[in-house]
Amino acid sequence: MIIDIVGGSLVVVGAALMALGAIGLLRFPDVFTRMHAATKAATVGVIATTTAAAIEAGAIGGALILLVVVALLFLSGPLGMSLLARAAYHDPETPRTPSTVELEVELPITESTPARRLRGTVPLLALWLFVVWIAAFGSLAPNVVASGAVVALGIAYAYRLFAPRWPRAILHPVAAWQFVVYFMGQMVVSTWDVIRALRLPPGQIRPAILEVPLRARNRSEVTLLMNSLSFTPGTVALELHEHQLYVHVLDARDPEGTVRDITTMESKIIAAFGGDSSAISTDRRR
Amino acid sequence: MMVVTAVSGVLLGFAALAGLIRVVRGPSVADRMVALDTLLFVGAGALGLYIVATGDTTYLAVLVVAVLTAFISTVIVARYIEEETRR
Repeated sequence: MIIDIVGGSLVVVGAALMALGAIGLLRFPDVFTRMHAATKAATVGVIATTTAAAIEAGAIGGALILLVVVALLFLSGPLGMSLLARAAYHDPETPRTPSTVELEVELPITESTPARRLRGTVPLLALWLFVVWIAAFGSLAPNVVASGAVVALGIAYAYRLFAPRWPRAILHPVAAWQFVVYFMGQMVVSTWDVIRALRLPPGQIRPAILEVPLRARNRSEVTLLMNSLSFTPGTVALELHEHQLYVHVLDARDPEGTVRDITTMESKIIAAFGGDSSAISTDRRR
Repeated sequence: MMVVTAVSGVLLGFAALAGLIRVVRGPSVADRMVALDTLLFVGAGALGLYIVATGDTTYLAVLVVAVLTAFISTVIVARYIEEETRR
């Protein structure tokens, strides 16, 4: 009974988010603004409905499928959107709404974090592949577990052999958890912002392309930052050029606030990867 | 449960219709791709609704495929636009 109520409300919420995103798809003036509404809302909607379906399925089968879907959405969704946005950004034939402003952001102190050598991720990759394997089979039978372990370790090790530049990182649990909590909060806040922007007449939306200097130098840090920004409604990472990040912002009435959000997220990511988390640290100057 | 199914169905139907309109109207390739992505996600949402409404979990794994397909098609179209721009 309770399961039915939870599952039912999740399905309705998911469907409602998709419908709201679809309104943005129709109303927003250009492809970038439509991306903010449609794809992000749809992503959250898919997570909601998948959660409902997973609850229905129950036990490990449902939970693992949910884990795989959410992880795939987080890894692939923003990446695809960023690629598409970058292509559209460079393409002169893609119309951009004339009210879009381009802002170059000056940050007071932009001390870069040192490029650190981070430890290996092969065990993490292997663990992840193993989870996917178990999810795909939906069982914990000994032969499934054994073959999964062999395949996961094999692929992870082969990947390292053939792709030596695979980002290596080890996360700091507390800081990583703080980042996850902050990220979830940002998701809720910015989803709400996008929903509010739906009511604006198309001419009143003030999209902007911000050029933000990055402190993060580590490949994993930059990747996670761009991915998180593109996953959060209201911002899409467009391009990275010489440590300058180009971000498309749906509604830049308050550019300072948006930049603060971006740099806060960057600081938390740097902290999660073991760097100095304070945005204006001067004592580490070298 | 009937109410849930009906309400969600109408909302998803509206989202799918809006996506179709955007696919037809464009105007750019990227616009159409964004709309097609939305359509695929709406399809995944409809599948979730079906699973919850009927309790039949046979197609649960199809959700994974839907999400992956959305990603791959987006990347391919993005590459296509970039190649067109370069020419």
